[in-house]
Amino acid sequence: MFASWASIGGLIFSALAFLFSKRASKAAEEARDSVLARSLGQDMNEANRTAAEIVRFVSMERGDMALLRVGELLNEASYSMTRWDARLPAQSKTNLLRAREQLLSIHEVLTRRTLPELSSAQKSRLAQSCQQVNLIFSEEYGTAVKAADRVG
Amino acid sequence: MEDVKALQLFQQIITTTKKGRIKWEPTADESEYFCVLPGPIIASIRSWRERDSWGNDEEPLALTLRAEDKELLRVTPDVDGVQVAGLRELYELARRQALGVNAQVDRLLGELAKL
Repeated sequence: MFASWASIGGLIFSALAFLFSKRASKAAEEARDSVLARSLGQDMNEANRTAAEIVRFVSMERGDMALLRVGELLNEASYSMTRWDARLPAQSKTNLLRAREQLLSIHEVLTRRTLPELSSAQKSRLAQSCQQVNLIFSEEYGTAVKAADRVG
Repeated sequence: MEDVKALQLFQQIITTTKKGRIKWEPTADESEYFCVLPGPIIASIRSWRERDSWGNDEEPLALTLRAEDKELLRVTPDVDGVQVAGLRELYELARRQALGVNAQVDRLLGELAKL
């Protein structure tokens, strides 16, 4: 009689232990996702700030400073694309590729000539391209923050 | 130069562009447009100026396909079956789509009709 009660108690204990371990593992997984989502958000926030600086430097005709930031942002974009490859949605991957392509063209224009040497049409095109990069990183920052909010 | 794949790809890109299914975008360079294709592969069409050995100004064009920073293909009139006119047509289609030229012309036509 005592043996059967003990075995029932053991069974309940095992079931509870299983349940708690399941919950703990789920909580750990959620915490990990939350940290990763925040980290992606931080990367996109930094990229967004650098992109805003490029817009500012181009409008101030500081091509040398803009070129430096373009180089930095190209590195940041390549890093993010590799680092977050598994977590980024397809649209974000495409957006980062679009931003990188714009940055490559900005880099080429700023390397070929100084800003005062550009015609007003060329300057306008350069400014639009920089603005486009800023817009892409702003959107990606927003998407990353939204994902972090969802995870918790 | 015979390059069946390059020719096939060029024809497919021009057909898909005509259907409006490829989103071309302007770049910081006034004479370059790009799009992201599945893969992902970046296609860009560019024109530039150069002077030939006779001193005449030329405006060559090239369609380039890249993946992971590596150039996969370069389509120029050197490829059998690819004509300068074909590349120029693609360049013009890409430019018009990227800059929203058709939409702006339609709007202007609408405004002019009201005058």
